[in-house]
Amino acid sequence: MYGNPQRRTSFEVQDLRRDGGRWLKEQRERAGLSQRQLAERVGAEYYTFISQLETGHGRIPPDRYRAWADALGLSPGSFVRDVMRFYDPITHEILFCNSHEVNKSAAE
Amino acid sequence: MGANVVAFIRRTLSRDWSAQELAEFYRVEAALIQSGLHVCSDRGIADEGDPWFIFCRAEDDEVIVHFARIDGQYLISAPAYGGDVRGYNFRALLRGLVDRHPVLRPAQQTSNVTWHPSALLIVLVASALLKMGHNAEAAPARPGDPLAADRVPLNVDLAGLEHTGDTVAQEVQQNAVILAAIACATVSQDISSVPMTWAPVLASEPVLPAHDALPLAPVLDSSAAADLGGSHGVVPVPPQLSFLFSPVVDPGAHLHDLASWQVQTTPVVSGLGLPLDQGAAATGLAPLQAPPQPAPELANVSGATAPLHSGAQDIVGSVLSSLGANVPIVYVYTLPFALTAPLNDSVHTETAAITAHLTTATSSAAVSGDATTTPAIATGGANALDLGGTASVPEVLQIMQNFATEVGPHLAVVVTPTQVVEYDYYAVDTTPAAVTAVTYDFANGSHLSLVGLPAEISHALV
Repeated sequence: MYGNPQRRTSFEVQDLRRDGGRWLKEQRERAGLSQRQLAERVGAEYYTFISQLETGHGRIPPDRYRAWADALGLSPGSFVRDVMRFYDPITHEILFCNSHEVNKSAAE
Repeated sequence: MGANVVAFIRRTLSRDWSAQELAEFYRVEAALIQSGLHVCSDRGIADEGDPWFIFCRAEDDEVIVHFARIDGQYLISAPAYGGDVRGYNFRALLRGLVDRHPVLRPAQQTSNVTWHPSALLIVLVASALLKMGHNAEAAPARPGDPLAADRVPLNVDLAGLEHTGDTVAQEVQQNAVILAAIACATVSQDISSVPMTWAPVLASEPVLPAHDALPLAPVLDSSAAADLGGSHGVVPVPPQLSFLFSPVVDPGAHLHDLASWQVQTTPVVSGLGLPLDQGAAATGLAPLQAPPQPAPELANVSGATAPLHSGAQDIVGSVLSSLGANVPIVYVYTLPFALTAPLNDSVHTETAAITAHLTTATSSAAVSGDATTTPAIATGGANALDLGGTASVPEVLQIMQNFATEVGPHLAVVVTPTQVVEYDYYAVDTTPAAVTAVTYDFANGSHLSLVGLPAEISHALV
C-alpha cells in the first residue's frame, strides 16, 4: 500500500477515496469487466482488493497505473490525471485546475 | 475446436462472514481502540459474493490488514508482513503469520508458551499497525465516537523511536500496546473461553510440524471449530480428540488394529482418483498379515467414549490424509445443527464388521423466508431413499473420495466421537432444504455420512 503524502484530515481523505472508488467502479463497469477480471489484468493478487478500492479504501499503487489504464481502456495520462484527483488532490489542483497560473507561467 | 464449459446455473451468492466471524473482527477493533490504537474497519462483498474485511489506520485510512474468503479459502494480506497468505484454516494462517513475524516473544525462546488462538487476531492487527508506524495522538476523534472519552492514548510514536535507534524502547512500546489491547479484549468482552492471554499451548491444539513443511494443516482446534461452525452451535472439543486424525500422524497407525484389514506403511490412498475396484492391493488395504499394534494415539483416548475401531473414524483417518491440506476438519462432541437436521432422517441399519449398509435421507421441505424457521425434515424415512445392499470398506473409501472431488473447495469434515461427516458446507449453509444425506453405519456403532446436493451424492455413488 502507498501512503498519501498530502496531509489532510482522515475524513477528507475518506471522502476523496470514496469518490475515487465510485469512479473506478464506473470505469470498470464501462469496460465490461468483473472485479476478478480486472484484478487479473492489473496483476492484483486477490480480486477482493478491487472491491476494497471501489469502496474507497486504499489506493492503486503508482507502479500499476499503466496496467490499470490499459485494463480500463484509458490513456495512461488521462487515467493518472483522474486518479490524482482523488489520491493527490493538491497536486492535481496545482497542475490541472489553476489555469490562470498555468497560463501566466506559460506567458512568462 | 476448443470448447468452453460454462456453468448453466450459477450458485447463489451468499458467502458473507458469519455473525461469529464479524463479532470477532469487531471485538478486535474495539480492543485496539480502547488500548489507544486508532484503527477503523470496513467490510464488503465482492461482485462474486466473496466477503472481505479490512482494518485501517485511522489517521490516513491506509489499510493495515485485508482479510477475505475467496472461493472458500481465507486470505490475509498485510503490507507490513510483506505478502499474502491463503488457506482453509484461518487459525493456522494467523498463527503462521504471527510466528513468522514475532513482535511479542516469550522471555525464553525455549518456553512452551504461545498465543492463545483468541489473541492471535489482536496480535496480528496490532503488530501490523505498529510495523506501519502509528502515532496515537495524531488521530482525531471521530464525531460521535462513543469510545473517545474513555480512550487513553498511549502516545506510541514508533517512527520517532526508529529515528532514535532505540529498538529496545520500541519493542517495549509495542509489547505494551499489544498486551493492552489483549487486556482490553479480555476484560471488556465476553470471552470467557480466554482465561489467559499468555497461555501455555493447549492440549487440544494439534502438534504441527514447521509451518514451511505443513503451512495449512487441515486440523482445526476447538476455537477454529467455532470459525467454521459459526451459528451451527459447535461445542468445545476434548483435547485428545484432536489427535485422532491429525495429518502428521501416520494414517496407517489408525488402522493397525482393524479386525480384518490393515493398511500398509505406504500411503494409504495415493490420490483421489484411485480405482479401488481393482482390488485390495491397489487400495493399500490388505488382509491382516501381522498382529495388530494399537496406535498410541488411539490407546491414549479415554473418556466416556471408547476408541473406535473398524468404524467410520478408522476409514476417515486414511481418507483425510489423502484429501490434502486444504480440507477443514472440525472435531466436536456433537454435530452442528445444520448437519444433524438432514441426518435425522437417515435409516440406520446394523451391519457386519466389514461392510456398511447404505441409506440416504433427503430434506423434504423448503426453507421458508423466515430465517429463524427450522427447515422441516421428513421423519420416519418417508422420503428416505434406500439404496439397498451393502458397501465394502474400499467402496466407502472410493465414495468418500468421489464426494470430495465433487464438492471441491467447499468440502469440510466434522468428526465426533461416533460420527464422521463429509459435507458441502456451502450447500448446507445456503440451501439446507436441498441437501441429501448418505449414512454408512458400522458395526462398532459409528457412522460415516456424506451431506451435499443430490447431484454430488449421486455422482459420488457412481
